[in-house]
Amino acid sequence: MTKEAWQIQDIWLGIGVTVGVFFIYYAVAFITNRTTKNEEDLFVAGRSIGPMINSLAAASTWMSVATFLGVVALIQQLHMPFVFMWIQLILSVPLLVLFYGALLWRLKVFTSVTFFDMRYGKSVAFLGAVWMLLIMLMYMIGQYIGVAKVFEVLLGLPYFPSLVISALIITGYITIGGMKGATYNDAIQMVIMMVTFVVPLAAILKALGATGYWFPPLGYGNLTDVMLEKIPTFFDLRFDPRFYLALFVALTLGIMGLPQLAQRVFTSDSIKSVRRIVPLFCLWVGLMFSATYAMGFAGVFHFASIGETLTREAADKTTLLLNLAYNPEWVSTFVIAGVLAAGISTIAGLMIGIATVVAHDVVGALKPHMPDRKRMVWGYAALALTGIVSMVISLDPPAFLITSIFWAFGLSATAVTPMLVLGAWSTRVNRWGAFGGSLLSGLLYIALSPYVFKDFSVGAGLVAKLGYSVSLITVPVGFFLTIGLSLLFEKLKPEEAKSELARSQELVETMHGWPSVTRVRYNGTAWLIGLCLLWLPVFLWGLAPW
Amino acid sequence: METYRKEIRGTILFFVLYLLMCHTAVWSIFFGTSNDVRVLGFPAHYLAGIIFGWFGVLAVSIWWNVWADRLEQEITTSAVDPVSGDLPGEGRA
Repeated sequence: MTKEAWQIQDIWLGIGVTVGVFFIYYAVAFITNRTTKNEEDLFVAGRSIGPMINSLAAASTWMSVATFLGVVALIQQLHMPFVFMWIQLILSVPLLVLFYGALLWRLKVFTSVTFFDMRYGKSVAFLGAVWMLLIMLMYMIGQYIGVAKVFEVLLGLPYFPSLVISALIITGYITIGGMKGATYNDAIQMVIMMVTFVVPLAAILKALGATGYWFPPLGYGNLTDVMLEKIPTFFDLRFDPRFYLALFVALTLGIMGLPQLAQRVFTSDSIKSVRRIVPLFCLWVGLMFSATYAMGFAGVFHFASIGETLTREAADKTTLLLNLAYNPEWVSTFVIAGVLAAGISTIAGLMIGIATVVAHDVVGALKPHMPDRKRMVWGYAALALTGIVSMVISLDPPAFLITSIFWAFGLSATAVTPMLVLGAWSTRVNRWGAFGGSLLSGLLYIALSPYVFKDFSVGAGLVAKLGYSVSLITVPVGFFLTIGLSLLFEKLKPEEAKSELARSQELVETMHGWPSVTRVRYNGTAWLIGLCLLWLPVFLWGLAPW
Repeated sequence: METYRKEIRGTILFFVLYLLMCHTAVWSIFFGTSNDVRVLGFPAHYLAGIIFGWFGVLAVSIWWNVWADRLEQEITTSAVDPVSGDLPGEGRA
């Protein structure tokens, strides 16, 4: 398949739509800029966002370029198992809010790193900052590459100028608008995504002969028999149970620790608003995910029907190819606006996340008495620099669009989630356990992955590249070390541990909403040991050869 | 302490429910799969994954919202002594 097959012929139409949507984004950014008066406005939107806008913004932050491009390609490669893999990604915000989002909102933190500082002290906060910056940067590079590729399609320009133009435009509006601008723009972008993905999909399904095309997420059941004739293994599980267990360990536990989603929750105007985000988020994300499976199904069906095998690069663009094949060209320009919305809303969340960790958590910790105006200058500088640095790193992109994102989720599950969740639910986890557990298990995860020491890596192929095989070892290790070292240091340093325990009891009980501190709640060790016992068989299974 | 236990038990319950809704591949492994068992034209295990992974999670989230609102109310009211108006544990913290 040639490059021309997925390029829009009427470039000016594409440019017109893109300029139009960016005009809206910049207008919103300038309007919200006027109400950005302090650091809280810049990084958590002055904690003024209601659940409807915030749920759309959270869903938008979570929908990435991969939703439009990479996922459809991977459904073509992996079929049903990839759908199972993707389904559980909807749990990000529900589990985040259930386990710590609502609790941390009460503490008025800016990011999870702020919580680490309050709960464990500066050393753990700095370590958490390093992990989170690494995870967010890896995530963001994938998005920049995706958006640049869309600009390639749109303008017919080579990769380098596409990346520079898109990165500068995006960095500009996010820096001007801060979190307030990003929140309202994210909400607008989610609406754009839903419309530009689902409506053209209905037309594609109708053209393919789907009888329920009017409800695309579930309207293509009558094509099942034809699909099975062409690809008899499409609905097979293919992988063994350990693969599906790894999805829980690496992905479900990884995504609940993602800082950019947590920060989105902290912008809520009340704790009830935090909770209300969850069902609304599930509604929007469920619609988009289900439509994505339908698009993947349609892609496999279409190319199997015409007997064409796609290259990896072409498979990434299946959504565009289907639209160009079955819809008028002007529809594709709106689809591209949807892809751009998906990419830049994720970049917005990540950029603000990185800038907040750098300017508020790291610089703020080093210079706690910095005047508010100077903090704002640091904040804006951090936002702009984040965009530029990410652009420079993206100039030499990794091979496959979303591999690094999944790998980063495994790192989050290993090095961030244990100290975050245990810190919110147990007063007995202390700074020695959090620091040692996070550092050692995180380094182990990196060392065992196929990207550093190839001969030392656990598993091979897809499960190793996505971090699944490694996570089955390192996530249990993260929990063992965090809990084990905490209890060990209670014995080794009793005086220091006692004073830290007293502080933890006050903080943890307060964040759960109790008006009085009993020092009894969340204080047990039996459940921590029970948790380790639950992780033991997972760890042993992870050690078995893949 | 009853409200505290309720918080712990409820959180674990909702965590398990969320996992059951979104890890339907495990159900498929347990119960097996057949492309001949169809619902709305789809193999049942495929449709179950999509339906539970969307509407199932949505239903659990609505239930959790109702439960969490009530729990918050209980945490606030149970903390006040009905006779003296004092918070239990006051002075000990």
